[in-house]
Amino acid sequence: MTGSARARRIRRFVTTALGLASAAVLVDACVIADPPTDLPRPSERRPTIVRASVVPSTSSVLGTWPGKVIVPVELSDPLAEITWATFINYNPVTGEGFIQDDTSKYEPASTRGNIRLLEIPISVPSSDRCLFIEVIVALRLNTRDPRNAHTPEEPGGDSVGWFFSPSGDLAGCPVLDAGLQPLPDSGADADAGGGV
Amino acid sequence: MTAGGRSGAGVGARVSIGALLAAVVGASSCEPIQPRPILTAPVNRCPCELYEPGASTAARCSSRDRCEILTAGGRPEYPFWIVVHVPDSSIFAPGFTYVFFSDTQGNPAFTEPPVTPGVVTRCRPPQCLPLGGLVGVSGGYRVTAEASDAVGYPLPQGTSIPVRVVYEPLGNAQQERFPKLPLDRAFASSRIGSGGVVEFSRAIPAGTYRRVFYPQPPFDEFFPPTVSEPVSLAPDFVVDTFVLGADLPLDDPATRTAKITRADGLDGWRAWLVDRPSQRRISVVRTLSGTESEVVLHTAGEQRTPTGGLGDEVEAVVAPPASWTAVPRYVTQLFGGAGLQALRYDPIPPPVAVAGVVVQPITDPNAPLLGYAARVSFESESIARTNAEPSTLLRYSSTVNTDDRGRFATVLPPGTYAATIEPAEGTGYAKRKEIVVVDRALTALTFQPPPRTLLTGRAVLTDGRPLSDAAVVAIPNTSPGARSSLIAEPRPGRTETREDGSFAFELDPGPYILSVIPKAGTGFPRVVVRPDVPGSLTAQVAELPDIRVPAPTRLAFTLRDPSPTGNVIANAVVRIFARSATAPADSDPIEIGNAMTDSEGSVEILLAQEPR
Repeated sequence: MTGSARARRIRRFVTTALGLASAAVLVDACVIADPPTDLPRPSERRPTIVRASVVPSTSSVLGTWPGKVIVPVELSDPLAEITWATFINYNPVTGEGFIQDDTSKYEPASTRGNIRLLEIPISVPSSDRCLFIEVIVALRLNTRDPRNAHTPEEPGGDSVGWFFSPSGDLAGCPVLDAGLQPLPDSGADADAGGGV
Repeated sequence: MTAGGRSGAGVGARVSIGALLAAVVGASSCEPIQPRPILTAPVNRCPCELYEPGASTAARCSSRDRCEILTAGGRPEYPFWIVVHVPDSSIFAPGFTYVFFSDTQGNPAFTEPPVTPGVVTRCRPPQCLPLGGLVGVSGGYRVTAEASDAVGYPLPQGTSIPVRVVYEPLGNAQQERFPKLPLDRAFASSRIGSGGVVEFSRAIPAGTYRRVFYPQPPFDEFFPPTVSEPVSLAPDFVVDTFVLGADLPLDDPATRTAKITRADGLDGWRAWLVDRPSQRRISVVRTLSGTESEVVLHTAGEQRTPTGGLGDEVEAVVAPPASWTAVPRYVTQLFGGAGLQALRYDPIPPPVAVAGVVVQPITDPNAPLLGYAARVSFESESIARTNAEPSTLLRYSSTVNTDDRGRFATVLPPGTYAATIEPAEGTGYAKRKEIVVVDRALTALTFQPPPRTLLTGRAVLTDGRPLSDAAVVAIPNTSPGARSSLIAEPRPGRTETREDGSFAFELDPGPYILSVIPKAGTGFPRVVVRPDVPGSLTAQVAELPDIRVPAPTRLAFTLRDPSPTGNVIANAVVRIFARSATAPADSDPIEIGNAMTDSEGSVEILLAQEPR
């Protein structure tokens, strides 16, 4: 083999290697630059209300109408969009009691990690008798029909409730369980004993 | 062509093909490089030249790489209130609410306390706020033998009767009188305690309270409620016992005797006295019988005139049994305390059936009525009497839900009513108050509430960027100056700003407090305005001026309990309230920010200027 042939072979080898190397570098570089596919997301888990921190506290009867409740919700996925709905004196027999619903979207940061603070205004009721306020949170709620809004879809949800009675007395509060009939819409004057 | 030339050309060709291949591979691999942000909301980052200055200083870049209005004290330079809701999971004061007040100088909440030699305090303002102490209150409502004889329920001397106790927070060591803040009353009820004594016991934050004792049934028929003067309770154990007949005598029965007549009978009816401003019951609740009943509505400590009278701010109430429907109660103001001897419940016509429908507004009388779900509340303006003018002293209220087609039916005593129609959410119709007359055996009503007002606006940062993805929350403005009895109190609403910062949502007509709340973590404060949303029978569109969101003033501190170890208060919701700069000095404070303490008890809240 002549020296020039060896030199040509070496040149061919070098150029081929250079070409492959540059292609590999480019490909590698692009693999690095290529945005990763979406990160694996944790399986969906129901939002959980941090019940101890809701405002006002649920540990006592409300004597004044709060106007707004603050509900901290802990999420397994901070990107999750959650839905909430409010009810006053929800009646499981008729499905009545739905007030409003809305969604809460991703927030970039909060002081408490995966906890999102929901501020939920609630209208002043037309009646001052004892009422039960309820907030349901879930990943998905069927609020197209308010009668279904009380039941979260999979993977479920959470709820928190408050008794409101200006007198602080739970007498006359809604008892809507075990098939009992709801209180009549009108006519009940239960305030004399309340005192406030 | 030489071999070397062929070879050179071949090499060149191969290099070109390799480069082309690499470029193609590279290009195809690099094609999808496009940022896909999770959040489209603007974020507060330096530089800060474009932001508007604050009241006393310009926006500057802080050590957090964020544009802030850096004030001397590290807090807003206007008066504000810090309301701390301690979580139920806290060891100290679970479920309690504390209030701190800061004036323009930061006093007294952020006043640094004097250093006591030899004492190490873990929590010192202004970096750390210690919660106030707790008061353990126990006591009861006791009666002397003479007083129990006087009311007709003889008991041994000093007997304790079961009561419900209400503590209304009025102020604390930092502020003598709170404005209207979201502070709830504290309730307690008597239990049979040690030694079989009936007493109540509960803890409350130290502060100034008005305490009310309400004897429980059946004792509420004989022993009157009692209200204390504002009392300041320091952190300690306090015995709060009231003795009827010793601490306060029964007020003169001669001035508390009521004579009540009703031709149709009073069996099971009840009568009592009410403080008009607070609507607090101040007398015993007496059950009536017969057609003419004379009862003593005992009170204690309610001598409102020099002669021991009731004054002008007391109402007498005569109410039917709780189970009765469509029968009004009788409520009359006792001017100078007079009139108690002549409470006459005049005969009223029998109740009538009221049926109706809530429908979409129509202009063509021949068009079909399209109903929808709503709630209708009737509040009497006056009630008809048999053979007499209608009376405003007779009062009745009732609420009824319609079906999905807007139909409702109920029973009402004849009279004139303010009917408040509250269309279901999502229907697009406004809450409305109408005056209706119920005067026929079968009264038919048709309500056509107008569409809600479309309120539009735009939120922009003071550096010129639109504020997207921010929540816009509208809640009714219930300040005394803002409300009108002529229109129904509007309902809350909420929406989010679009990419260009604009927002639009449908609201009821009326006064609102509208808050633009940037997403947590973006570094911007909430901004509060107080619009009055107009409304009319036709569809309305109202546009707000641009809402400008400035660089924030940062408020940060740690919360600890007052014990020597100063345990942190984690997971507490902290809310900041301030009065509007343009509202009267005694207007209700408005919430301008909130956050939750972390596991170290620390909280950071970004605040804008006072609400406008």
